[in-house]
Amino acid sequence: MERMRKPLAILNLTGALLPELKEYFISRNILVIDPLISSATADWTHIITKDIHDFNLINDTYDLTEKDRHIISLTKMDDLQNFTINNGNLILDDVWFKGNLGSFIMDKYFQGYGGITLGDNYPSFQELGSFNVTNPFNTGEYLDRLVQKAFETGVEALNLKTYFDHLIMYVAGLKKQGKAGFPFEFTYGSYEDVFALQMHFFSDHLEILDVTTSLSTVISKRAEEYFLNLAVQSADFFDFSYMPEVNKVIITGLWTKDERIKFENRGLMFSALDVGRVFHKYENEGSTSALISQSPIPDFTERLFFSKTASELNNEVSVVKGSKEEEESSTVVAGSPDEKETSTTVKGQSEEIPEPIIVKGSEPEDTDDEVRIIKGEIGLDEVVNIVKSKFEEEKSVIRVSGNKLDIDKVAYKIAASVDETTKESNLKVRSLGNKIPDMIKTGLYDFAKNLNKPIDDLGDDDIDRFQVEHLPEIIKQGILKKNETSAKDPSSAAADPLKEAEAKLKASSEENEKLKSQMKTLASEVKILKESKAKMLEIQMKASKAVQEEASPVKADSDDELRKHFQQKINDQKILNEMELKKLAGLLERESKLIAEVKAEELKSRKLHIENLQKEAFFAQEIEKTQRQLKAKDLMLIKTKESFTKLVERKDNEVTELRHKNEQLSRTLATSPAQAQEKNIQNLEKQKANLFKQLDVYKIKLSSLASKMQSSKGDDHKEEARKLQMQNNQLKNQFEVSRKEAEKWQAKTGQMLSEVNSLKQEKIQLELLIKKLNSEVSNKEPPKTEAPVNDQELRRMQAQNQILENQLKESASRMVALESKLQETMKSQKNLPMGGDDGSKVKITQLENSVKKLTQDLVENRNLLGEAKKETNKLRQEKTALQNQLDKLKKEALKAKSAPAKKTGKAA
Amino acid sequence: MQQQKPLLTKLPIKDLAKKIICDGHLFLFSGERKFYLMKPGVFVDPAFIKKYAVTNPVFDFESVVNLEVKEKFTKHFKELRYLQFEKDLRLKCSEIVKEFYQTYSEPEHFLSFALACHEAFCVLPLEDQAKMHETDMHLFRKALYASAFSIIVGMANDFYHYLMLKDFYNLTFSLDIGLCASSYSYYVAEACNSENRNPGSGKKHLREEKASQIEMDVFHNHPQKSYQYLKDTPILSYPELAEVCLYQHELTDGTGFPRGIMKGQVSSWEAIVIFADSLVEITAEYQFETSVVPYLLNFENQKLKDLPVNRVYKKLCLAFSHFQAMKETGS
Repeated sequence: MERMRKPLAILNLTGALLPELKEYFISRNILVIDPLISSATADWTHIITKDIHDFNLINDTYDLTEKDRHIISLTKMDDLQNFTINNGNLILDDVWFKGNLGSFIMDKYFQGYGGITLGDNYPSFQELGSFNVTNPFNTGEYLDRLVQKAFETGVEALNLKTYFDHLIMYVAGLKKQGKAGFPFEFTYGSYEDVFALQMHFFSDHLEILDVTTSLSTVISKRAEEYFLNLAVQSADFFDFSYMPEVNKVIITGLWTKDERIKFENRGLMFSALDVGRVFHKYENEGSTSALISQSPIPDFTERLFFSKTASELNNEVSVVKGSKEEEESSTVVAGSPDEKETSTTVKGQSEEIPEPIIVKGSEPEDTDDEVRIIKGEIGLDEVVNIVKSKFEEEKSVIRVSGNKLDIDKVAYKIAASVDETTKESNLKVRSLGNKIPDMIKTGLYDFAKNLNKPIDDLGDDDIDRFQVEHLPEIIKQGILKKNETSAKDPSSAAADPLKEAEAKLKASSEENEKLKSQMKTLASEVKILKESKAKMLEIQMKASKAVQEEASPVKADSDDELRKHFQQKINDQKILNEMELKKLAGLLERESKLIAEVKAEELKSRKLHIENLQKEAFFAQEIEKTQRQLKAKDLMLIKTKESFTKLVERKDNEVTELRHKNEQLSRTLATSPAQAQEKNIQNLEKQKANLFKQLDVYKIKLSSLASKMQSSKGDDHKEEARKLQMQNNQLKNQFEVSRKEAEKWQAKTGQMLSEVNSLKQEKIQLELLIKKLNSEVSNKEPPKTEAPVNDQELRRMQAQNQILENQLKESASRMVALESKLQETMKSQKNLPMGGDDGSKVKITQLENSVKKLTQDLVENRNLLGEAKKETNKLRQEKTALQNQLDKLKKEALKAKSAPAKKTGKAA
Repeated sequence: MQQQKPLLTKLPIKDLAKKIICDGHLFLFSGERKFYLMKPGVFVDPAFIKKYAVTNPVFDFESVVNLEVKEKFTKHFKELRYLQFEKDLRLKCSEIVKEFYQTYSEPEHFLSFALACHEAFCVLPLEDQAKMHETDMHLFRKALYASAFSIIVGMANDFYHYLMLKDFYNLTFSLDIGLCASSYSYYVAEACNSENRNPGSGKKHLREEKASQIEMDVFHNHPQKSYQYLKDTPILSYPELAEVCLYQHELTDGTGFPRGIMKGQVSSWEAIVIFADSLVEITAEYQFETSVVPYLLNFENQKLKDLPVNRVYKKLCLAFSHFQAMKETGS
């Protein structure tokens, strides 16, 4: 808002503006001042630069950050961080002004209009699509569509993709910091050969630092430091705007097919950015456009807050600034009708000083000449340095006559108090301040000097005192001086040629004096510079020498003698002869030559001065670079120191740990092993004692066994062998019995099978009989005798079954008994005492073998038993099947019985 | 057409107590008289349950909700919740929009969809819902229907993420929670309706009705109060979205309230919430028993003059017409 309220006043440090850009400023009625041509000042809102890459100096010179002034660069920036930190917010190459887009971007920049949608922000663009991102890592599909559209419009899609990826990662980083909110809304569209991608998101606490920190040109491990820079470098034009009312950030990238726009002349715009604070307000007048608009770029000039008039501005601008400002001339880029007024504001020797340059006016040739001079003689960098030199000139003036700018401020105060009606209007005060004579200012400076106070510190009381006590005297003196000069002025000189010559002489002498003084000041400046920067100003030394050499004050002195001679003659005789007239003419010629030479010298000295400044700037940059490198090295050193200290600390720790371990080990060696050994020895001794005891026991046992063996000898063994043989025989007999039983069972099963077969046969026979009966039933009554026969057979079968079951049970019980007997024998074999004799051993082995055999037999028998059990089960199953068959047969028989009866009933 | 007789079922009070929102008409027979107790889409007030629990009555209940429709959308929302990839999300959302279009092109009660949405997305504390109901049961019902609309409008406007849609729902639901004050009155509700229909007319309406200063204050401050409520209650997945409360009654020319912000600065997601909110009014008349799609397609409102809202509405219509075109061509 503040930015827009201020009338636009641009300081042009480029030297020569492109005609298109010049036309743009004329058409928009924007004041642009070139300091090379005019030393007029204004409350600058913007400074246009070209080929400048370090803006710290400009920032210091023009208080950009403090006074909210912004830099517009017409060339690509290498160090975007430096540019943005120093309040730079527009980079737009001259090439952009060849097409429509340049003036459109400038309009947007100066007027500050915009909106959320692409239609609001860039009204002439046709929207091609939009999408929303809620997950920055899930954008592939949208990007594919976007790239496809870009291909369709013929835009370099690789750049677009790089831009998108890096931008979204940058915003994702902001989101991570809590400085951006979801969703990120994207809109893309095209206008003629330009493709645009716009995104916007909510951002509550965004600061300029969040932008600048990501503009680093160095590719490092921390990607977030250069994301935005890569995005910016991938777009032809990058627009970063902020809307503080709704806390939203709008980022637009433009890509053009225009071949003139290359990497070197890419553009950048930061709207509503402010250093160190939250972004400034973005001017928005509710500009909403149609969703899709093909209309040409609209004229937004109505929205622009123009400067009142060029003359008013000039009045505001033309502040009295010491003797140097007598050469004042302002470059007003305005085709306003106030040209005359502006020219009248020019002070000092209006005859000699070039006319104010009006870009669009009645004298275009003059301006062109001026531009050519600037173009030919001074480079763009030099222009900046010229500005700086002017600033330094001012400084030198300050040295002579105090702080001039401060005097102005106080002068306004005085002026305001002199004319009370103008107190309220600051502008009027300023205009009054312009009219205050130098005498008052110098008087004020002297007054302040007497008080030993800087002018800034003068209070209202002091100023009042100054007004009451000193001001009347100063005014009196001024009036007296004026009277004196007016008295001296020849009133009737115009008619006489001698008087004319006298006047010319006087004027030339005055001019000469002024030039001399200028020369002196320049020389003093050069000396000051020499003194201050002796090391890096070798060229400056040469220049100053040249200046000193070429100053040629001798000629002036001889001319002075001549001049005095002629003056005396004119005063005495008031007549000059031809020779003298010729001499006078020669003198005048020499004078004019001298003036020309002085001017040339002045220009040269300026050039040299500029060169010096350039060198100074270069050296300053170099120094800065070296300082940075030094800092970096220092940092490296610090880091290495830190790392070394850490390493040392670690090693110290390790050493201490090792020492501790050593100590512990030594302690343990000193104390614990002996104890352990003692314990071990004790244990071993105990074990030894136990073993001895066991040995004794075994010895006793052996002796007892030997005695036993001796006493019992072979009788017992024989008996035992007999017993075992007996048992063995018994077991064998049992096995044989079981085998016989098994054979019997097998035989029985064979019988059973034969019986089953016979039963089956019987069944078949019965079935046949039933069939016969059925067939007979239809004709005859069934025989009554067959049913009892079947019953008898069934009973017999059941009895047989019962017998078989009983036998099975018996055999099972026998088997169980046999198994138990076998287990007992095994136990008894195990419990047999171990013999000490060889004979007994042989017997034992024999017994063992026999036992083995027995166990094998047992296993075989068990297997046989299992088979027998299986067979019995089979038999049982068969039995049940047979029983079922029998039941069926019974039922069938009953049916057969009942069926003929029914039939007989029915028949009856 | 033969009018179908209402299908009355018996609903014991313990079954009614299980419901958060009444999904039908609730009656009580006392002697020979039938009392109409509850409308569909109304919050089941715990005080009501407490009052009737003493006598343990069995109500006559006529359901308006199509359980098939409700289950269908509930299933869709559940599936949407666990999808991860953008394409899957987009396809699912377009499927839901298509389903919505097909279902609500025919007469079908909107409550089925609203209940499915409420089940899937609502995270507003029950006491706050009860507070809205206590202030005005129509206010609650408006919030219920408007928030359900926000889901379908959001999907039609390329917002596919469950969390984002959930936030849209809860934002729309609590957009007018700032109206919940003791001095809320019929006039305030009417002013809100008027403001929704014709932006900038709310305050005029209140003046015409000679509303008290307190009522004026309630109406003027409700966006700020709603915003404050959302700031204090952590129900949003993306808390920054709460800002939309402040823009609901802002006008393009900067004459809106409470701050007078230009509407050119409203994002599309904000417009979704604002548009959804303007689709339903605080009134007893709205039942949404008929087909909703024609209602949406023929919607006319002064709010549509605002560019972001208009964009949102156009996208919704585009989503519907796309399916309509598909249906007509048979492709």
